[in-house]
Amino acid sequence: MGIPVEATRRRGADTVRTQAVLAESISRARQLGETLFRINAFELGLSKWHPQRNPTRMGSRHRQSIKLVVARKPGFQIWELMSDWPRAFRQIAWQLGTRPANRRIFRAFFGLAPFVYVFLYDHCHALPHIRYGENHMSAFQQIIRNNEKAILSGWLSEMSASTRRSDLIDDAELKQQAAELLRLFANSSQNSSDVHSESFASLREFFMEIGKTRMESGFTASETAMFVLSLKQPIFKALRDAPKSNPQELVEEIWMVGNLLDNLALLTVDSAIKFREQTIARQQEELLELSTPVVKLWDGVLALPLIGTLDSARTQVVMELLLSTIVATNSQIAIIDITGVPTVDTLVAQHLIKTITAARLMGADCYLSGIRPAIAQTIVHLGVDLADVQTKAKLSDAFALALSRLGKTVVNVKHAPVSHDLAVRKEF
Amino acid sequence: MDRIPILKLGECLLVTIQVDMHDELALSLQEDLTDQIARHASKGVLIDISSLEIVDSFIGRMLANIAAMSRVLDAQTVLTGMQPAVAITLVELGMSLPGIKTALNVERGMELLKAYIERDSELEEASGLEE
Repeated sequence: MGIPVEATRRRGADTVRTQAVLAESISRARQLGETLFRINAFELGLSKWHPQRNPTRMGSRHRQSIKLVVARKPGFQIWELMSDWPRAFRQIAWQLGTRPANRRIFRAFFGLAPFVYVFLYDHCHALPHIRYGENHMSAFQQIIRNNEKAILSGWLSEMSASTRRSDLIDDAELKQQAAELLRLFANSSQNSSDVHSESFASLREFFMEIGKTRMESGFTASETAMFVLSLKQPIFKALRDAPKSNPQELVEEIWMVGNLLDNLALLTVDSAIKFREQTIARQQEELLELSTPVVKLWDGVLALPLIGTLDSARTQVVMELLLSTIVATNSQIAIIDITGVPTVDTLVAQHLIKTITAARLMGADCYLSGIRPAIAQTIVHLGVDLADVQTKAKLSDAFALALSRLGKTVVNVKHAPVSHDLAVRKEF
Repeated sequence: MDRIPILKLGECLLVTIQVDMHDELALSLQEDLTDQIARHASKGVLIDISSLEIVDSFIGRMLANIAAMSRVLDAQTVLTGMQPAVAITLVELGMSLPGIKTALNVERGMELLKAYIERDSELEEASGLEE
């Protein structure tokens, strides 16, 4: 026994008839074991049912399976529905629900019996993402396009009220940026509601660029975020003033625009912070290189004046630099001067011993100099064993030792030679 | 199987490691070297590892062993030309090779060995005179 095909496609006068059909369908569906039905006026209003064009096949007992043809963008997909149809439909509803075009889905099922449609709607409706249907989206984009000028001026005034920094960015540039951004926003949100999707790529890029340039010109992170967030109010205003919006749709659209803008603001701040972190990392690297010079004191004698706290990363750099310089200059002796190291704890001592041992393995002697009395005390209190390391209080002592090891001495000359400059000056 | 050549230079033995050391090669070197020291009654052993770029704890221990064995056979070992990366690796592995003398290059290593042998022979002469 088939579904009655004479049901009308018009609402209004024939609503009673449609309702009767639906009621019948529901009771039949209940008989088939499905009880999850909920009907409201909204659903009834949607049911543009075309029984003539697509004669229903549901309920034809003499067929084992039912073929459903559902319009999809790339073509047509055919589901073979076996006798366990509630489960099959639930699967279809789930699959379709993952796409934004929910109303199109229902249109595809118009040829079916109402109870199938109602069932599908019931299940699709339960899916959270169905809220971001195509129709909702195009609505707020349309509103943005229609009211572009009003939104733009509202946005600019909003910005000037809260975060406008006329000392950092000029009006013309800001206006141009805002216009570009609004246009991109309306375009990108057309196809997707996920800011990480493909259609948002250009917008993401734009926002990241904004985050970067804002940081460069001295904006704070919250000011950068407010640049995006202050777009909310003018868009909400435009949505509120737009005609033919019912409260439910309005709330959903506001929720969605708010969501999108929040995500974009987060993205901007993320990019700004990332830019700042990169700057810090780069400066750290530069500082590391600046703070570890290896100087040649004499032929075969190197000195490494360390300044600042020693940590593992820095020790690694120091060690590598010292060892490679030893090879390059063919030096026998290296003096590590720790006058500029504020504190020596066990870790720093460990790092120093490592460096000295590595230099020894390569065949160079390493002396430690510039040990202040306080540091000497700390070293002993900590129980650090520096027995294998030649230590000297001052760099000059270590240098004298190095010279004597190399078989060289420094002697006083009897008559110090007058400098050339002085001699010349005396002549005048 | 290839072996590392051991050259005799007067009272010293010269070993230059030009290939990547694998464990068997290291063991055979250890064997050959002790043989040679015993045969020639060498006073010094110079091992040049300037071409050695990869080192592990086994090779490190092997080097320490060679030094100890030479010491037993009354020969001083000098290790020369260690690469910075190798030195860092050994230190990180916790092997500071305390018994081994080191030098920057073969030339310096030879000087070191000669000085050592001279001092050694002087000491021997001195003790001989006393007798």
